[in-house]
Amino acid sequence: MSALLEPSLEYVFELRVAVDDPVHIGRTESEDLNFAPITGGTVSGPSLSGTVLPGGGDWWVSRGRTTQLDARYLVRADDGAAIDVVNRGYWRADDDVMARLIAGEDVGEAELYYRTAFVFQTAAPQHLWLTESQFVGMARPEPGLVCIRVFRLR
Amino acid sequence: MDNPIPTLEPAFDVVALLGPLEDHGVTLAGHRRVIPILGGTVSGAIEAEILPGGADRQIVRQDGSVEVSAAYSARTADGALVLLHSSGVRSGPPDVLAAVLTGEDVDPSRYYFRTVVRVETSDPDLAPLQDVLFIAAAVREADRVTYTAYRVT
Repeated sequence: MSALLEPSLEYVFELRVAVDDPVHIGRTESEDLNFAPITGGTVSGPSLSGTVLPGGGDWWVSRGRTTQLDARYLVRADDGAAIDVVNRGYWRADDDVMARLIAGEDVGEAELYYRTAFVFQTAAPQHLWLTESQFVGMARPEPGLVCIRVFRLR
Repeated sequence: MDNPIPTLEPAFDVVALLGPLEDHGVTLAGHRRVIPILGGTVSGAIEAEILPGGADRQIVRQDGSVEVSAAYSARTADGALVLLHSSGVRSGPPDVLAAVLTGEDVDPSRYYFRTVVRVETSDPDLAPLQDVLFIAAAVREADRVTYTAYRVT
C-alpha cells in the first residue's frame, strides 16, 4: 500500500456574505426548513477578491441543536469573472453560546462548530484552481453577515 | 488575523475495495463512471466492515480531473449501520490522471485527491459524528481507495 499523505489547510480568502431576514418554511415536527436570502457581500484574501452578487440564498434545516446549511450564490471576481458557489455544512452551539447569539453578542469561530465544504464552478481560466481542489470553510456570524474563512485542502 | 487556522485530527481510517469500473460514457451529467465498492474496513473512531453495494459515482472532466461522489454502508461489530459519504476532487497532470484512471499504481504525491467525508447513522454512540466535518487525502490504487478521515476542529 502506498503511504498516505498528511493533508493540511491553506487559507485562501474570506467571504463576508450579507443575509436578509429568513423566510420560514417548515418541514416536519423535528426538522425546520428556512430560507435566508443573500443580498451581497465581499470576498477578500490572498487568492481572490471580489463581491458577492445578490440573488443567492441559504436553505438551512434545523434538527435539534444542529443546523444543516445549503447555500448557493455567485461571486463576481474583481477581474469580472463569475464564480458559482455551493456551500454545505453544519453549525451547532451549546445553550449559552446560542443565548449570546440571540442577544446579538459577538461569538467567535472557536465557540461554535460552524464548518462547511465548498464546491466552486467557473470557466474563467484564472480561477480554475477553485475547481481543482477541495475547500472547507470556518464560519462565524456577525450582525447581518455570515463570515467564512475559506481554506484549500493541501 | 485573529482567528487560528483550524487543525486536523485523525479520526478514522478507511480501506474501500473497488470492483470493476463501469464507464457509462457521456451522459446528460457528463462523462459518467461508476466504481462499485465491494467491501473494506473502517477503523478508529468508527470500527466497521464496509458492506457491498456502495459505489463511487464520478464525473470525468475534459481535462481528466474527476469529481468523486462515493456513498457506502458499513456495519459495526454491534450490528449498527453507518453510511459514509465522500465527495471531492481528483486533479493533476493529465498523464498522471490517465495512469490513475487505468488503475496503475501512482505515487499519491503526484496527483491531488482530497475529499470531504460525512457520516450518517442512527447509532447513539456514533450519532455525534454526524455533524462533524471530516476531510481526507485519499490514495487510489488498482483495487482500493485508502484514506484517513480527519476531523476539522
